Amino acid sequence: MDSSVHLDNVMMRFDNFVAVQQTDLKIESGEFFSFLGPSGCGKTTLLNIISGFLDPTEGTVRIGGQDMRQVPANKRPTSMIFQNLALFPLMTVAENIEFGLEVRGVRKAERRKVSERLLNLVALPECRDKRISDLSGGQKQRIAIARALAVEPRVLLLDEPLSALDLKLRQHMRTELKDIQRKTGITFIYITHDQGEALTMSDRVAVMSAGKLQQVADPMTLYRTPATPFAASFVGENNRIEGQVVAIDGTRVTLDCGDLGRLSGHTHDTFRLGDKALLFIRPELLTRRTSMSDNCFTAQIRELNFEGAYLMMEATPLKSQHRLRIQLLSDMNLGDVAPGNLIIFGFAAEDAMIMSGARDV
Amino acid sequence: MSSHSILKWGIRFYITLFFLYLFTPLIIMSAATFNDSRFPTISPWRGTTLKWFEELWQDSGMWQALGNSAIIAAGVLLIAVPIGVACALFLSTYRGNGKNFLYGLMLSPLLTPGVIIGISTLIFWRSLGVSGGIYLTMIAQTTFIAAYVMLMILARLQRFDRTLENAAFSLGASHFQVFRRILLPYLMPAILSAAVIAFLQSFENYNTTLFVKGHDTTLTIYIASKVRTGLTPAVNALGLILILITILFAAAYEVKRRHEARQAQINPETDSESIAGKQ
Repeated sequence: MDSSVHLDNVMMRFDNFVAVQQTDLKIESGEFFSFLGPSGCGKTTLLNIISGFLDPTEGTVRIGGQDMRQVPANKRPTSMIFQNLALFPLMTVAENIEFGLEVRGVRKAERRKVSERLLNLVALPECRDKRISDLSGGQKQRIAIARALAVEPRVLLLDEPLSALDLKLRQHMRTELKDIQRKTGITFIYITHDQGEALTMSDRVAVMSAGKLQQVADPMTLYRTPATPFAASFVGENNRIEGQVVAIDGTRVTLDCGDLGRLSGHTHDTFRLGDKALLFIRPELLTRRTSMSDNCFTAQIRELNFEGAYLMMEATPLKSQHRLRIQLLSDMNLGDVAPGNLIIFGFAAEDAMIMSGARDV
Repeated sequence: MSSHSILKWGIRFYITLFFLYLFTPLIIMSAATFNDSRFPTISPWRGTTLKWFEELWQDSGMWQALGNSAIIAAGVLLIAVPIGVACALFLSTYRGNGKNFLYGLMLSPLLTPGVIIGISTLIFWRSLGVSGGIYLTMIAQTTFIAAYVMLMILARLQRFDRTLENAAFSLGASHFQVFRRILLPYLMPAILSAAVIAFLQSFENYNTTLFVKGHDTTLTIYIASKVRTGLTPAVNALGLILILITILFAAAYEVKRRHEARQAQINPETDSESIAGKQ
């Protein structure tokens, strides 16, 4: 069955505020797709447009190839898991799960079979007659998933459903969600501001900012080759250094970064000499060196945080105001890595991304 | 004596005084029921009797009035509750201009003296050829009782999680199904208390009813007219019966509430045990 979702030229305006700019997107059948962005970036609006709670100002949504313009939310082949889960407090667990079937007029015996199957899927068969208020946070989470799956949607929409859970449970539910998605083969559209969630679960991620899709890519591509400065700084940690182009050699560009000196990186953009540009280098790609060479600088360690497997530090290069974040494996011989000490750091030019500063948002 | 115990005794004294102020009239009134005197009084005590209950039982005018009051109260309940609920639902979802105006319009009968509601209802319907009576009384009382209902429903609606409606909608429910299965069960406790309040408000109403009652008589009007034509302890007997009925209902409600509170306390405990058992 085709459960792809197409957004054709979708745009949403509230009075004078454009919540979602012209968006074209194809989400594949059976894909785990995430919209990642800070709050207010328009991702929830987009989800509400797909579910039918909002009509786009312009453009159309197609689900399974079918135009959804005249189809109200309760007739769409989607179901939604809400941020606050929105379980019906006056019904039992089983009544919650069976609600979507009940309103479709499915017989009680039939409904019971479905709810039992789903309670087994989410590993809570003993909860069927409990009241919602008697469930723990993680159990509520799973019942919300079961309820949404009961109507056999082609597309499941998830609006930050894990944000209310504690860290351990959140990580556990990530694997569980991914697992359920694999078992059911339903298209999952997931909304989150947590890049960890988006990267671990998704087949593809759309990074959103100010109502605009910044980049749509698989998690690895997104992390390794971000397309815009926003994507580079929002997904994972990144050091951002401004400079001016002084040399171009194919995809290799060298910037004059003021007090940091000349630094080189690779780019997918086109530059002319003298252009303003941004260099991004990830904390884990800055490494310790024994002697100065290209793409190196001496920095003084300001702060040191032990994070178990890693050591996260903030360092200021000599004669500079920059505070760079650097991550070292903590099983290395750390010796003189201590606050106040001067250490030489460097990076390989192919690890640094150079982007046009004009597109910075 | 420490200042703490002075305060404690002061509060006790005040509370005693307060309850005496509340209940002495009721106690005297009830006691007068059993006095073998032509007037509703406790002094002089002319001997204990139950004959006023008998007289009350035989007072056909009183029964007639009681019947009218009950019919009117039931009618008001049936009209005012749907109107009040509908207004509350509309005001809680409507976002356009004039919302405050509509809210004010609904509440204005509450702020208008009952006498004026009575007179204006009578004048308006007279001009259309409708004269006073049971039905006009229902209409007149409904104007302000519907506002009470609306306020009670609005209060509960304010705590309603609107995403529940969206959730039901996204699961395929129609608007009517969302209302019947999600919103109505949520509102039910408030609707039931609003119905009780509406019934009582109607039952005890005097000043509005006085103008629109026509030739029909309600219980409050009947008792008031008795005050003029000569009150006997039979009225006290009626008062005592009403008090006893009220106490009975209040006690039944309290027993039910405590029972539920106990149930709610038991459940989470058994739950945490079963979870602990699994780990």
